[in-house]
Amino acid sequence: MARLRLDFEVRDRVMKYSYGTLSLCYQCGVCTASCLISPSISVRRIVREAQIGVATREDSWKCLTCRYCDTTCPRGVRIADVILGERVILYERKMVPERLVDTLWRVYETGNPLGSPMRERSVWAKGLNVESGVDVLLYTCCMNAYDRRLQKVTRSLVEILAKAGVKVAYAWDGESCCGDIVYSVGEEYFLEELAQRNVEAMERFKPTLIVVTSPHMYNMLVNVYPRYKAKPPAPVVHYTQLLAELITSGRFKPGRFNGTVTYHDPCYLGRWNNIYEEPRTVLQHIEGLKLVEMEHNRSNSLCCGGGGGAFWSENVEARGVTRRRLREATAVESQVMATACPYCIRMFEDELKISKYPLAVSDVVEVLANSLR
Amino acid sequence: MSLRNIIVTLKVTPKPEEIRFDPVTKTIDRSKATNEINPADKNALEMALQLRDRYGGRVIVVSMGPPFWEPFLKLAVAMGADDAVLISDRALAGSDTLPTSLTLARAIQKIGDYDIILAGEESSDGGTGQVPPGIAEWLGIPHVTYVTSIDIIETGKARVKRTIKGGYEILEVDMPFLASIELGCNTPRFPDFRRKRWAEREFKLKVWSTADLGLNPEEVGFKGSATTVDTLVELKPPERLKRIITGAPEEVAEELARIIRELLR
Amino acid sequence: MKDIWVFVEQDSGVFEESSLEVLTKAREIADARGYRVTGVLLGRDVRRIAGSLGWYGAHRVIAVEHPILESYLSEPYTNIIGGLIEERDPDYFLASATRNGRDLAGRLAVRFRTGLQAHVINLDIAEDGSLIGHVPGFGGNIVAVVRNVKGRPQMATVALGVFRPKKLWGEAEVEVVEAKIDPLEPKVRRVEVVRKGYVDLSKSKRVVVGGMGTGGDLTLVRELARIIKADVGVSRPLSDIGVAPKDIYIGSTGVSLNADLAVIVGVSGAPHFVSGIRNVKTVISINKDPEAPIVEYSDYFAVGDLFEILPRLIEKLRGEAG
Repeated sequence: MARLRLDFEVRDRVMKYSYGTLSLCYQCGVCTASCLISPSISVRRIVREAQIGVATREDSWKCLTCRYCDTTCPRGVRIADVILGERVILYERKMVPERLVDTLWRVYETGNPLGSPMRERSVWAKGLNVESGVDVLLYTCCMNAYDRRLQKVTRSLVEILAKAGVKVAYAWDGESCCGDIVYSVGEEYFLEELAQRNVEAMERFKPTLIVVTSPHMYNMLVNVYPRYKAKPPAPVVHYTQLLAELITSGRFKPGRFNGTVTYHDPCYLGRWNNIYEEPRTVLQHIEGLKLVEMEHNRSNSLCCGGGGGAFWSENVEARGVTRRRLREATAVESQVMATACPYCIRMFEDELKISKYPLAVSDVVEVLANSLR
Repeated sequence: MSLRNIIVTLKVTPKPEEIRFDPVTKTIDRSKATNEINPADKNALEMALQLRDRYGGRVIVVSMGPPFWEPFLKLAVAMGADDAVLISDRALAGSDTLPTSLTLARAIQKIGDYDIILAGEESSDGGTGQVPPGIAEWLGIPHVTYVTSIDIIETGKARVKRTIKGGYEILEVDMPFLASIELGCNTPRFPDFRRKRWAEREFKLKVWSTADLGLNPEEVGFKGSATTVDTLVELKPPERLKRIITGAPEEVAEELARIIRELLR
Repeated sequence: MKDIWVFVEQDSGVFEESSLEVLTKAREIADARGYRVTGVLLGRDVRRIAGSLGWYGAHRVIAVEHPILESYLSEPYTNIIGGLIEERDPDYFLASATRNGRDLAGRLAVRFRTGLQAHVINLDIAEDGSLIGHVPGFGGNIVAVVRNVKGRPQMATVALGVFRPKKLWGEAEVEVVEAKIDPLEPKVRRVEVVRKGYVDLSKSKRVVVGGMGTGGDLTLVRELARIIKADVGVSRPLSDIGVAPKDIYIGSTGVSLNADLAVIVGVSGAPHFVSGIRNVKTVISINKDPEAPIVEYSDYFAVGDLFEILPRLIEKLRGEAG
């Protein structure tokens, strides 16, 4: 039997990152059984090793941080946080997948994980009226700013908000990556700088409301930034929340769409932040739209396979997770799978290029925009 | 067996795809391009840091460039370099690879105590790849180019892997030697941001002028160069037909087959 | 009469093709001015093959033989050639911009305190005898017209695949020179050489390139390549994820194609990729995204799913080869 070196410093640190829940684990194994990428990692084992402070396991990098195991854990162990805590330690020990290090460099050098030029961040907004000096600040995810397919979502959002009488300011000058990928990699010091710099950029606009385009951004601004001494200067909402509010208050009237749509709950919107109903509200107010639920929905939802850095480390094993979700969508015979996260859209559409299920993937905002035509 | 100084030459370059060329004035506009540490030099620095991790020694970064390169040298320190030297002097403006390799060689001699000198295989802007062998010649030491790995096998001797056409060769080299490092052969470590803060607030860069290196004005800059740029020309990509073919897969395939048959004739 | 020296690289008795390109170009320049071209050939047993360099343009060849010279090694090559240059004082010294050519030239240029132009894509000699070269820079979008202003010999390394080797002349006069190898231990010693199969895509006339749109599955790409007798290349991401080796990825840090035909499948067309296809005569692209950047760099752009189009295209072309 191999000798184990216990490191209580590791245990104590991971304990802190898990908000003290690490010690609750009694090794039942339900986490491993429910893990969406099982058997490529053993979640139970990762938690056990953290408990006794054994040298950390590089499998932690494969985790999608979808929190599915968190919801099935009978003891309430915050497993995703255990793993993110481990990643901080793995990062310090320089045991990080190369592609993730490359991604950090891109965020540092160009302000976005794609490596696209900083000064092209506002190109998506050409022709749209995004003025400064207004109350609502739009903070876009790098994917929504630079990815050509996702730029359509961002533009639709601005157009719809304009129709609803909401003028948004777009902080392109000074906007940079929210740092979700940096957080996923376990790097804390660059993250602190990034968070503080982003908050400073937001403060210059004196917003009363900050609207974000990605659930990951929402999580960063609301839950992570305050831990790094960077508090957003205004309440933060995900755009589906704003849209739901505008629709239910009567300020915006959706159009018509005759078809069956199913909604995929992004992990970082749903399980991470308990935002389940607002996107559905938006869809349900579209006349003629039939909303059906997939087998796994709301807190039970399946992951798209892109979280936890998997999108950037090109974790090919996660493709099985993506396909599984696509099959569920076709099983309920929906024509469209709507979702509210740029990573989910890219993961599903990239997989559809190869797997070809009879399904279209749209953002909630795009379904709404289509209903107006 | 511990190494002494491991010296890395470093250049700051603009991202090639962001450079704009003004066809009227025939000059290069770098002002809007993002500057970065020349990618191959990052690989060289990472190689140096790995050597230090394994065999001890001090990693010293040397750069010949204008004052605005300072933050990039501090970034190199944040990545782990022990010291950094910037050779900055108006007289160096217009230097081609001959005075550049001379200046860097002099600086390296002034630092002294070197066992290994590393340089990126070529820079993303000039891209000559001539400076590393040139430095070795000025210093009178052996050099190996396109190196992807270095192991110290005994005191004063290293074994290096060099890329050649269709494969690689393993060479044994006596120290001190210079190696130019192949682009992409390793993953440069992300800087330590706590160290970066220290580098920005407290660390003092050494800044040397040509006088500090005992260089005469005729040896450097335009005067010291053996080549000169007469003019710059933009190389436009070839005009393409841009014919779009759409339709059902069967129709598209038919059209493509027709075009290809025609071309293969 | 001026002398243009051309370093001819060889490995185990096989000439490096790009050295022959430089030889021919040197001869064309020389003929226009009445200059002489001298090939410089180092190797193990090379006196017998040295004369054949005349066919590619050398008036005469200096051949130096020694076992240690079998393939390129910096020290003996630099010292021997340096010694010859010192002795004979040629006016110009050219080499192909292979790794070894640049390695050698970089060191020699400093030894003689002379100008060296790097991987020129065009070359000529001005009225006053200065070497003029076109030096690409900044990712290949900008070319500098450079002139050697001092030092001799005037030096340049020549980009591969820019000029064509031509077999037009006849046997060259060969002078065999004694190798003066330093009796002391050389400071760099070869331990091992490992070579795998090598496809030089930059020489391929037809290439089928697969990108991320293939999802890493190159079956259809290979089949199409087989049918039209083309080589297979990839875009960098496929090489990065290990689907294909490093030497067949196309782009600014990889291979630059000089093909007559390139069929590019599932590649979006990022700037660093397209710089590798700029010299292709006809570019056909297939992509699902009608707005993919590669449209701008294609002669024919087929919109559609490569997994639907390629099998049909393959069927139609089967037996056509050409």
